[in-house]
Amino acid sequence: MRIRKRVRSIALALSMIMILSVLLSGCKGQEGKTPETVAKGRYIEESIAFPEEWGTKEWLFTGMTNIGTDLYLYGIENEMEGGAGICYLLTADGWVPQETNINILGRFNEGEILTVQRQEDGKEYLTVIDWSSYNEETNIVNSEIIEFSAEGIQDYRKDLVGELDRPDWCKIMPDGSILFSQFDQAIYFSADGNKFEILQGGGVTSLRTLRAVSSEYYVVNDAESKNLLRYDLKTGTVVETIPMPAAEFISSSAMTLDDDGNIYLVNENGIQYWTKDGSIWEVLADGALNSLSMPSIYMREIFLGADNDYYTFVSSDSALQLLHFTYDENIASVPTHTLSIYGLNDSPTVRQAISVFQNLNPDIRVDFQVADGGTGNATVTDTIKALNTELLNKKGADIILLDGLPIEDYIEKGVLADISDWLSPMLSDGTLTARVAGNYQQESGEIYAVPLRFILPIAFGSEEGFEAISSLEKAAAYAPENTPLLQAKNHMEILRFLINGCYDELFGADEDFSTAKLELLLTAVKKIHDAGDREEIRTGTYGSEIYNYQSEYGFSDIDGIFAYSGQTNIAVEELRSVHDIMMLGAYLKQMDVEPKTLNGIYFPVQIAGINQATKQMDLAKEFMELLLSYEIQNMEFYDGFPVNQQANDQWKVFRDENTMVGSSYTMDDGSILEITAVWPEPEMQQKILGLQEELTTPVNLNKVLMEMIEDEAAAYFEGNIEVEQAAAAIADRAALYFAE
Amino acid sequence: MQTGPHYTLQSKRKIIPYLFLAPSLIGMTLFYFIPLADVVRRSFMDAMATRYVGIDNYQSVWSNSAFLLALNNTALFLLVSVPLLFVLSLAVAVLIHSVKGAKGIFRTTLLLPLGIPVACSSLFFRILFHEMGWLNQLLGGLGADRNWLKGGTAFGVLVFCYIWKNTGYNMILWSAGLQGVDPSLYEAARVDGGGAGKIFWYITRPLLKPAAVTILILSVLNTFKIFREAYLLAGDYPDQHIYLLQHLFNNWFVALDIQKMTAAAVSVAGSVLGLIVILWQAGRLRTVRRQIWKKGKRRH
Repeated sequence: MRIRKRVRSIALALSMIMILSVLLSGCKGQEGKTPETVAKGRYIEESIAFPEEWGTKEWLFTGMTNIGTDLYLYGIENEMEGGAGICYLLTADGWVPQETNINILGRFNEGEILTVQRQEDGKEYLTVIDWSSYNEETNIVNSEIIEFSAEGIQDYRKDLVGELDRPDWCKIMPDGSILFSQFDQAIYFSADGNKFEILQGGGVTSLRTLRAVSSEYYVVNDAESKNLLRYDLKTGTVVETIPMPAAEFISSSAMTLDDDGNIYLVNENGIQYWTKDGSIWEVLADGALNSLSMPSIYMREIFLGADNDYYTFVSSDSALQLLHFTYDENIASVPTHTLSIYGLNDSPTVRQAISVFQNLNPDIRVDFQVADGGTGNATVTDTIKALNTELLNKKGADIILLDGLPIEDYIEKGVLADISDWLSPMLSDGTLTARVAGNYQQESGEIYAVPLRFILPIAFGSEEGFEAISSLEKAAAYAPENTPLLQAKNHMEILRFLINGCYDELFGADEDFSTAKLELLLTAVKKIHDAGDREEIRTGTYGSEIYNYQSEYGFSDIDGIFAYSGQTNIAVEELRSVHDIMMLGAYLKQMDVEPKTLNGIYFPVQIAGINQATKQMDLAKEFMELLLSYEIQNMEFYDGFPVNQQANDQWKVFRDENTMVGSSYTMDDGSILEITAVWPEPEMQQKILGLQEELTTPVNLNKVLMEMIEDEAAAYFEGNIEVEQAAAAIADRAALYFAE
Repeated sequence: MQTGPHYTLQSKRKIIPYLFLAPSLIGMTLFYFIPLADVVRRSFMDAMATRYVGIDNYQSVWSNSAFLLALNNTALFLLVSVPLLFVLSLAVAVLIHSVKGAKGIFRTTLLLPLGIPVACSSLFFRILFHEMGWLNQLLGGLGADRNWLKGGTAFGVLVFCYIWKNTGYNMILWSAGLQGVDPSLYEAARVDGGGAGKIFWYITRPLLKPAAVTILILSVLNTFKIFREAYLLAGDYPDQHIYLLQHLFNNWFVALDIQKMTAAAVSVAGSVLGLIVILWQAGRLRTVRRQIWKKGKRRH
């Protein structure tokens, strides 16, 4: 009996353990699937290089067109070099030159070629706008369709084009019917002489019209870009309304139709397919797993291949690319490995690297989790606590973007891995800018994090302005009779300006605040604000916006124009990209002043580190190396300057002579402050970007401390308390923070 | 052979209670006892629980001025607000109990704060106690123009929020206790010429003792919930007068100072547990003394 009793007890205990195991195993992930059990088949991307001469010549126009599944690449040389067309056909053996009759030499002076088209009989067509013919009174510009053939060059169907106001796209069908698009309408002329108009999105009210045409249908986005409308070209009526697939950038999409009217659309989410009269978009090639999700990619065309393959013609960072997507039935449908990245904010640089990395490693998916930086439903504190819970359990993303996170705490607690073994050599051999990235090397040599980019604040103005912002004491003592130091921003923006400008003085020696420094800071802010608070500055056209707007670092875009007009003594331009030097260069040239750093400060951004608990250290390092590589760093996303020295050097000599920018500000009296800028001269470019060598102080603003300062300072700025009280209150709260 | 069924029944009787207990026991083990043990373990480790550090964390916590301030404020809040609520809610309950009609209206009115979400009530208090708030406008004639959430008044505001939120709830508990008192006792006392004060002191007070213990425990537990109001009123780093243990724990967790957090939690829990044991032992001692005294009195 005793044995039976014992057996029963053991059975009971075992059954409870089994129940618990079953319950807990429900939480287990799907990792560890053997390759044999993984579903296979996925579209793989390959970049097709253009003919060699594409990189050596300057082009007036480049474009692609197709006849069925044959793809033709067209280029028209710059007018100065002849304006002759060049054509290649894509074959299995590569690009094969084709005869072309296109030559626009002397045809027009300021023409803009919109489309190129080729037909089976060898005739070629260009849709062109001749801007030199623009008539200001009638607002009319001559547009033409030019037909090129062995017989010569002629205006095609001038009788039809003449009816149109600046067509922006046209398609000539094999049967002779023509579809023109102009602004928010398309006009169809059938071969038998019928004509009807189609309402469409685009034109001046939308970024771009998304459209595709076949012999039977015209599919185009509606005015709200919420749906695609399928028009029957026989009747001119809408026969199908299709919901537009979700995309962040509708402007970067392209579309085509097959002979049956099925739709193929490409955007950042991938290549998607809609069966005629279907009900759902099918994703053929997931954009998250290929280059299509790159922020630098802009979709121009999509073409169908002969073997269920697809070509997308894209531009990326001013360069053209042809991406070929073919189905590989041997590769896993979904990558079997995942590398995870976590950050409070999105990062185009990281997104770019993800696409490149996934292309190089088709078996790896890079999952970028963006916590939304507190702009969504959760506060930043809640988000950090959720992340900390994972980190404490030795989990969390493999790579962490540390902007807004407690970096010092993570380093101190051992959350981040020491990556000095491969990063130190990159610093010593000059691959990375030692002046910026080197600041993240600990005294004992370890490196736990590295910024991917940095923002460069450059100051300009009068000598007395520079003198005033060189220290808190001088800023507090500055009281010129005539010229305010800064324009009349709100107190908080001036506060941020001075905290950043005098960061080393405030936080340099130790993390403690002295009440005396705080008093100086608050006094200076109030004085600068009151001195700049003048009617003519405060109440311009955008006066109320200036007054309420608070920039992140305290430097407004319009600071420059005030300093340029002599109304203020100092301005700081926040350089996030090489193109930002244009306005700064113009100010410096016009004012004939020298640029300087703002007391040597810079803002490191997108600071990345590897989670010590990662089980994929090598993979994480590989990805980090890619993030810091020239290939990624040289991309321009207006999110900061590269820390890769080669990319940084490249930016120092980069030139964009085709762009012009401007800034204007209308005052109350109707006078306009205005300045336009072209690319600065090489000497000026070197002078501005050479200031990077003078950077000494990375500014890592502690948001908790900033909130404390702003919170307590507000009462002083409003005149409710004395400066001593405000400074003491800040110091007390800061002391509590440091005591923790 | 005859003893078989006897043993089976006996063993069944032994197993059945454990089977009933098993679900909650498993839950308690998984969600309370194991995490509790982990907290104690982590309090002797570094932040990422990779290295044993002995009592370093405890030394660090007890020499931390922020911890001492938070502990002091939390204890002070407990000592001020709980007795205040205890007395106030009892007074309200007795008053309502003595009212002949409209008891429901009073009770509902006092219970309303319980139905208001903390986020809403905190927003209301921010508007009320702000420098430009309603209270200052109301007191404008008296020259009052201060931020009530800064300085010593912040503590008063927090106590007010706590009292406002919990008076109705405690009043209901007291009322339940009052309902349990036999009305004939009051009648008899009145016949004997007892006044309202004496009736309360000699009849109501002793008979409410069982309810008082429950109310006291619930009031203490509710003080820990006041963090929500404090956080929503003044954020992560409020005025030093309302900087509570929960603020500190919250901030430590954000900074990943889990080692300090666990050491502080174990310290506070240990101190409270110690205090309860001492009070319990003192209570037992008092009961034993009273029994001895009663026995001695009977002998005489």
